[in-house]
Amino acid sequence: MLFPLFLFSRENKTKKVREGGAFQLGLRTTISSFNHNNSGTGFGGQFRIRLGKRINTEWYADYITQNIADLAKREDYHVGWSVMIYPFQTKSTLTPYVIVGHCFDNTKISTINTGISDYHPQSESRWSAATQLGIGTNINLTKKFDVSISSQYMIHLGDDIHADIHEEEGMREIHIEKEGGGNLTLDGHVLFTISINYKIFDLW
Amino acid sequence: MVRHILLTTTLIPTLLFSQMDKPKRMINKGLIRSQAIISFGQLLNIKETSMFIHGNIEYHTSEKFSIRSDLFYYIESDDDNSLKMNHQFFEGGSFHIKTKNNFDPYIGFQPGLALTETKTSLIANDVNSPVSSKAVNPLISAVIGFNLYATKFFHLFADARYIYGNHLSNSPPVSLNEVRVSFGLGINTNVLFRKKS
Repeated sequence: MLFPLFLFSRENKTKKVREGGAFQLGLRTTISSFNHNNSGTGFGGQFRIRLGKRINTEWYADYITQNIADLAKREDYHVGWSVMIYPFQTKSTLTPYVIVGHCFDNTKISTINTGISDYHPQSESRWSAATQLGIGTNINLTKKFDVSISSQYMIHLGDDIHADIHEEEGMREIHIEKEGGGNLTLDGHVLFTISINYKIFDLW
Repeated sequence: MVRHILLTTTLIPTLLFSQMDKPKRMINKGLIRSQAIISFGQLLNIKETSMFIHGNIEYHTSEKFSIRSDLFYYIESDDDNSLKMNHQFFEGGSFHIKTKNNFDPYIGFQPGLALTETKTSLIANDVNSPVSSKAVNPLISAVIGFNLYATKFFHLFADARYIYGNHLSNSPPVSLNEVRVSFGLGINTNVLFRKKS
């Protein structure tokens, strides 16, 4: 009982500062680890609308590509939103947050022509919905500018799409498979995101 | 002859930076700077050198923070480089370390995109897929550098950039990991400058 009281006791004494309504625009880069050895690299953008002292929202889009063992490439398009909850004081340079959200995405895996004589291109794609949960921190470098670092686990709900690599007569081969047909499966991966954000104006 | 060269090399920088004895700090909100220069890079994984026409524009939203866009136009060389095309665009921000004069060190972070294409010789026995390996791929980059505002409209700059990315298309992948340097003379002005009466 005492701990929450202690945490929030200072709020009444501090001068009332308008913190809701801040509109931030930002750019982000995402490193994504799927179930393969290599990680994916992404480019994206976002805007944030702050709803209150301890709640912020993030609306984002990402394009992520990944090399699968030099045999195939995976492309992911994410469009989604997240809620950021600040459990601690928001005035310091570091403002940690818990982030939870939802996104829609399109995934495509296609083979790379490695030069073998009987190469036949393969490609599969799927649409899915996903939910993500993680932690992060804002690094407030100036009043309006921050760098944010976060790590999230994203679970996709949709058809399963994956690449299987195996060796045949000393040569590596890849098969891209899509499974589902109405049976939804769960497919998860870790996202590590760095973004820079700048406060443009107050919406209210 | 040697004396002339020595005199010239000593006098020109002295004249250029003579205003720096009484520095009036120019790094403020509204400062806009731009450059167009040739820059060079070393692709780390494939040990190849690359050359670009590099243009950028940067705007200070405050003394310590600026928004920056960079465009690199790849100059294809005649040698055995793997890439036919490697144009890159970066957008991001820089954090400037405050100094007492017009020396402006900074660090920056810029996500980017590369429009890349490999030379066709990389695709052997290509009978079943399209020849073009043109692709757009994401990049991550970090920049460290400095500007030295010597006059009201000109500055010296130097920066080094680390780029992380891969060319992924329907042809064999090529690592785009690179260290790139740019230096030269840029132009600057403050668009919010108001003359005090």
